[in-house]
Amino acid sequence: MPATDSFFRSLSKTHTVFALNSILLLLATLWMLHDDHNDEWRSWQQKWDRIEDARLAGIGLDQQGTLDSETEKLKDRIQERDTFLERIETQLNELKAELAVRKGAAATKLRATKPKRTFRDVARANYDLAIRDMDPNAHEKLTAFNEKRDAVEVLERELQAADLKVKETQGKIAELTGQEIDAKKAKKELADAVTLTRDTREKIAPENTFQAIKRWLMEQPVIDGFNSHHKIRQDWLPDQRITLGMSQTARFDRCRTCHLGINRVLTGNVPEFPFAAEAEIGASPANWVKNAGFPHPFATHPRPDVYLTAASPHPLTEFGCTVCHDGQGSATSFHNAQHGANHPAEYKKWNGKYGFFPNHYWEYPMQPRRLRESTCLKCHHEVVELGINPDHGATAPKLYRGWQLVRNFGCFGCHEITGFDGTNRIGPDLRLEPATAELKTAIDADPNQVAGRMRKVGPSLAHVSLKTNADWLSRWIRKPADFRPTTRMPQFFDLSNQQDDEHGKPFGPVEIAAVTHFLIETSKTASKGFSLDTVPEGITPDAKRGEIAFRQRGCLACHAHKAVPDPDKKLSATFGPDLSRIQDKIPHDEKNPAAASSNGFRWLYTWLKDPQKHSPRTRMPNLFLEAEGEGEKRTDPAADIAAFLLSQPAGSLAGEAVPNADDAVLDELVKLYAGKVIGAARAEAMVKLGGKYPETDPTGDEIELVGEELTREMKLAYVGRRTVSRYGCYGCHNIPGFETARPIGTKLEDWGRKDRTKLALEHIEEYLHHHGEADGSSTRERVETEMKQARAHTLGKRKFGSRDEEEAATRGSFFYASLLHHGREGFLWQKLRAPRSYDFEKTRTKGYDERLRMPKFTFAPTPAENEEAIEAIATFILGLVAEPPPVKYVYTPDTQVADRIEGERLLQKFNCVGCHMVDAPEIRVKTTIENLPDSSLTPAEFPEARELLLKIRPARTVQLTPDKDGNVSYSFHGLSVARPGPDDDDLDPEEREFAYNLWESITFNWMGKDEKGKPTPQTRTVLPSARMLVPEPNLISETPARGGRFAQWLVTDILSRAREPNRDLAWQQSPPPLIAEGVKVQTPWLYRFLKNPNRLRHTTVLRMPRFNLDDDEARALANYFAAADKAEYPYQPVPQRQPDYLGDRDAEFNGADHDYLTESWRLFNAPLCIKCHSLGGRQFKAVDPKKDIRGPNLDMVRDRLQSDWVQVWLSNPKWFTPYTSMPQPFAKNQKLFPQHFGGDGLKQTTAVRDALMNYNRLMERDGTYVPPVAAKPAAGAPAANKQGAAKP
Amino acid sequence: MTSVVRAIAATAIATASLGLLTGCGGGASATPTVTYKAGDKSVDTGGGPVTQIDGTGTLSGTIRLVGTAPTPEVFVAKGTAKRDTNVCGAEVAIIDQSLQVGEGNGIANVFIYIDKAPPGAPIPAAPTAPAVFDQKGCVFLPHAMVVRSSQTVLIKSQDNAGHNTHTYPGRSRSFNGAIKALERDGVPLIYNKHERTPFPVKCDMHSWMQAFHLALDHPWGTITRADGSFELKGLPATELTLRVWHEKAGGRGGFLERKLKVTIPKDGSATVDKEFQLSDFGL
Repeated sequence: MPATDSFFRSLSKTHTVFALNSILLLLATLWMLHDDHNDEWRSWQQKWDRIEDARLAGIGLDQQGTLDSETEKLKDRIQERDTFLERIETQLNELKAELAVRKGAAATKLRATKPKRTFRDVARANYDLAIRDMDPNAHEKLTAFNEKRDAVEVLERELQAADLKVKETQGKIAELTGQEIDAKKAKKELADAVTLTRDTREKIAPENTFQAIKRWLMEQPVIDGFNSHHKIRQDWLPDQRITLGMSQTARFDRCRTCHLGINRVLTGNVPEFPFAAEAEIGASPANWVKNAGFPHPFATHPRPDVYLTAASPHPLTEFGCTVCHDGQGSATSFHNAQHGANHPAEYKKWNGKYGFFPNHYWEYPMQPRRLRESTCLKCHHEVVELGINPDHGATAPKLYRGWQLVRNFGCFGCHEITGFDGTNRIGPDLRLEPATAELKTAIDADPNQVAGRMRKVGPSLAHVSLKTNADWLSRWIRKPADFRPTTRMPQFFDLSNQQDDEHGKPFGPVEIAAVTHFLIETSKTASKGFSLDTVPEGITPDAKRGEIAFRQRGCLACHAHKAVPDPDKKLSATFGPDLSRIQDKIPHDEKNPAAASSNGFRWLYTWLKDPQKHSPRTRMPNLFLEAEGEGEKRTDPAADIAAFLLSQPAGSLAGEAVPNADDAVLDELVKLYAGKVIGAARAEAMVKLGGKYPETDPTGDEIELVGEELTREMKLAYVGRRTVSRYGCYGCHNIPGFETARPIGTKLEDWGRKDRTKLALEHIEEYLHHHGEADGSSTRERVETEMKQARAHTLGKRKFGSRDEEEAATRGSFFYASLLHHGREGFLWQKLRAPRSYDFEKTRTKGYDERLRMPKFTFAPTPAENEEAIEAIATFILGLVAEPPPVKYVYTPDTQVADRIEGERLLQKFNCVGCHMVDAPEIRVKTTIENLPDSSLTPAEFPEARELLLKIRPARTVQLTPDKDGNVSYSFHGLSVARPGPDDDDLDPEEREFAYNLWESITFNWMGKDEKGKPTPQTRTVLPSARMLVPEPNLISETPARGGRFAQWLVTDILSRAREPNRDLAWQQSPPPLIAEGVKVQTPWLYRFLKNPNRLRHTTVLRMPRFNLDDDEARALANYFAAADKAEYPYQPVPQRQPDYLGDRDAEFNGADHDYLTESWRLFNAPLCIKCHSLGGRQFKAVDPKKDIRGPNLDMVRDRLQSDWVQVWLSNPKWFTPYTSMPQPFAKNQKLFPQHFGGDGLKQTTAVRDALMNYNRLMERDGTYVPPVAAKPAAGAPAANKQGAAKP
Repeated sequence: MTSVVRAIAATAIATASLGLLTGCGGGASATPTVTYKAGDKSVDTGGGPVTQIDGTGTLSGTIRLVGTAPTPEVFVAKGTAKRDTNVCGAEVAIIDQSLQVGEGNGIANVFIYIDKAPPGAPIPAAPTAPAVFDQKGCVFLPHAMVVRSSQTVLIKSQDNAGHNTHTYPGRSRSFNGAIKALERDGVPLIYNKHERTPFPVKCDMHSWMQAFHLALDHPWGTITRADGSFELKGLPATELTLRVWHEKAGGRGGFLERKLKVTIPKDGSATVDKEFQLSDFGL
């Protein structure tokens, strides 16, 4: 039988198999297509379409009329813009014509001037020739030349004037052209909005059937592969490289594939899809649209002014998403994107819903919400701008707080944070400054090094033996909080890894005793030749006077004291230590605490008088506490304050006394440490036999052991020195002998990328199972409770009140969960809560000197606040990644902004803001357009001064949008003048008022109506010092001032003690707010003043102290004020001293026998300014020195103040300082001195300004002014309207 | 207070203050040009049912001190001023005027006024003549005065020396201007708002110079005469809450009595005689 096909295979069977395979393949293909089509992101995009649809329906898709009216409105506004443009164009044409005329006039003048110049030059040449030829008639030629020159000068001046007019017109044209461009831009935006509305409708819900079918088709599987409107949206960021494995590659961020509304904003930077925490992802899109609140991933990114928009500092196209958020940018599903859950309950919810779990292989998971700000550090190395920013406010407050805590608690003393790789910036730089001037010079000279600039946070211990005694010192070292609960000094001893009987318990006290011994002895050596000041003879310190001085001289700006209770935290001074128990620390004569002879008293006195004497780098300023008064009334405020502080009732010495070092234990310690260097056997022998240390010139701490015979003192000194070295005390304190010692802790500049496998977690889980909380209870139990609450929240059963509340309530569980998963976050959290807990159950296997040494810090008084602070610190530390992005992304502000940022840093470093207010309180109110504050000038005020004021200190613009009831809301900056009292209960709420003085100019803009009822833009500018009356129901919020807590407290303190309380006068006695300081003072003067402040004001009860500022710091601070007010600096011009200015004034004045400046000087010396100021070589004469209001001496104005500021100040002093006693000297509606400048107030104001600006010249030229003796009017003589002083 | 009443009161105040504002021509910036006719304006209550108060009455009385007032301090003895010697205290010594006790222990310069005009009471027009605030021998004349909040005050000076006048109102725009020697035309000053308490007016060049002003949006306020007596005519015949204020009465913001209830009979008169202790004046 021949072989046939059927022999091998059955065709029908084959067909069946083939058919089945085909079907399976088809199904698999369909399944594959379906699965591909069914990507997670596509469902989000479909939902997004429904949002857009619902939104459009909302604005009237199903209500054509509404939509039309919206479009009409837009068109109306376009029309409005057109009218405006037409008007501008007409004006422009007119101006251009005028310009042509003026240019012509100038050209004519020039033509007239040119020949005259030639004639002058000819005359000069003739004269020169005559001189050469010894012509006897040379003087005639000179006269001829003089005439020609004068003639030319007249013409030149006219020419200049003509040129000036041309420039003026050109300026106006430029301004109008600017407005024209703005108007055109606004018009285009409106036109775009019209187009957008039309296009969007067309796209989402087409009216055209063909379009609708096309759209539906494009959404179908397979077809959607061909440029469907549902597609992956990708941002390609070639410069933002990401490290994957060992190589770097460009970033692709596909986040917008699902986060579809993330960059959608409306005009005015209003999010188009505002986020709402309560919006549920399961709800219907129509619901979200109705409530105007959207869930993620549809919500718009918060703060469009800062993020994503093209005009913001972080445009989406340049920054993408993952450079800030981390996570896997290329992912298109929730899980792959590696979102970061904010707490375990949230994680659990995601896990159930999206199958989410953390991918350990992705190195950059997204930061959870609570730590999100950490990534800002990649580019914002100075941090300041993230906390204080006039344009955007605090954009990363938590990170900023963390940075402040690290600075304040001196973490960098042990853990260096190097911000430089060579000289390239890689992150925030927190390193100690070079210990000595020589080291600083060496580093400055090295082009490859940048010196650190942090000062040590603790006091210098160089002279500690003068300040206190060994008993106090040892108690303090053992547990600082026993003496001062608010101290920043951490606890080193009596911690969990020092509790074992073998080593921990016996060694600790001996180490403390040894450190104390070492510090006291070192200090004694270092203090040889240090002399304490003595209270001058004849002065008896007085504690009562001292208390007043303590309250008034500014001590409370930095220090708290229980004698000045502060229950409402109005002072909240934590910059310096709480001084309530200082009397227990400083040994003094307890029977007579005010006895100036005791060493303790003398130390305190010396410190108060000149802190730098004791500690050259201290931040405590010199308060100029000089002795004052004569004879028996002579007092010394420094001595009084010392007497006050030391006379406070003595308390019991805090904490346990530390016993004398036990000899046997001391020997053990010496053997332990010395054994590591010379070997255990030799150390044993040395101690046992009392022999010599075998080396004569050791490099380490063993230097203390070198000597003829090993004495107990030497052993104590050795163990003390070892302990200082081991615990790194010198990281915070200046200790002689440790100038070049290196910080002991791990460097932190890249800790945010620390390899998790290198985190030594040890038995921490076990520890937290049984212990962990401040009260000794189990952390695990606490976390379980937290989790229950959080779970209830995520299930919607019991909601937290706010996101902040949610974050606080889940803090422990978040970090605990992280710790269990070997996370850096959790490690850090526990390390800061209880640093030694990682030694749990390890003390048996670890040598005493191998144990963890990090001390325990208390960042805040309660455990919850403490953990909040720890979270802030973690935000900072986790952001330290030392991965600087390309230079263009690193925040590099321009000079002005950089100076402002540096200044802000210094304002805090020296606590300038403790005394001085730098931003007035912000008051938010609601009102109606009708009740807006009034704007008009009074008849006494000058419109010219108003213009100048708004030029040097522009008004803040406030756009008012009335709601449907006509209410508007806005905020203003001002100081409180009065508030409703408890007795005002008979008034209606509307009559109970808060009154403020406005401290800024505000321009209100709103859409009002003209006479015909047509919408017209309205504007009103309200000037500073306006009285703002806010009825109680209209007050929305009061944001406290930035800075100036002490000044505000002092005002209330002065008021509470005054017989006739007067708020304005109390403010004059207190440190002045530094608002608009940059437009007020000349920067070079401010620099000199900061370096060495002289007495300016005579009304204040305290003086500006002298701070321990470097030249660089003083310069930066001086620049700061000008930069903050956007003023010109560092040199401010004073045109009033220029010959051409004075020439013009002379020409205008045209005096018969004297010039303009002489006349100004006479007016300046008229009997007005002299009533309150020393001026012109004449001293202010006090009538009653205690009550008189004495203004600053006016000889300083020339160098101190800017001329424009002086002009505005003299026109209306209240515009700058609403509380001032300075009257408006030359009101517009009065002729004060008719004999000067015809009594014209404006001319007089200008003249006095010019006299002030030319003060030195006039003093040199005219000397001290001698007022003429006024003739006494005869009795009964008619009172003539004549000035008392006659013309000189 | 129920919300309805509150709304009525709010509307009333808004309307009243709006009326005042327009009447004043926009505050202190302009001289008032509108004159009210007596009885043509009353507090509008915003449409709520308010009984018009019909008729007026008179209130009089005396404020006395119990005990002996201390001798006033001499600020500047005659001819001893350290500055402006031939003006300040040249003719008579300058003494502390803060507590002046006259005949029968009557206290002068006590402010007696009502804060809020009662709803439904017709408010007579403010006088068109300006009030005069003068100074002589470096002393303000008068030491205390009540003006209407739309009325012009002319600041004058009889002294041949410069002064400044510095006002410290609670609600109005404050004023601080130099006043030239022998200013007889007067510098105009308008308090553009109703004030709730009297406030000091000072001269910063002469620390002792102090007076007290009170600006009201109605005429029902006065000060006691040298003998402590006062009289307020034309008060609305209803129950009123009087404020009794004196500059030395520290502790409670200057109020000797803050809520003194008194009923004014129609076409009749009521009397209030009050005595205060030294301690009320911080003595």
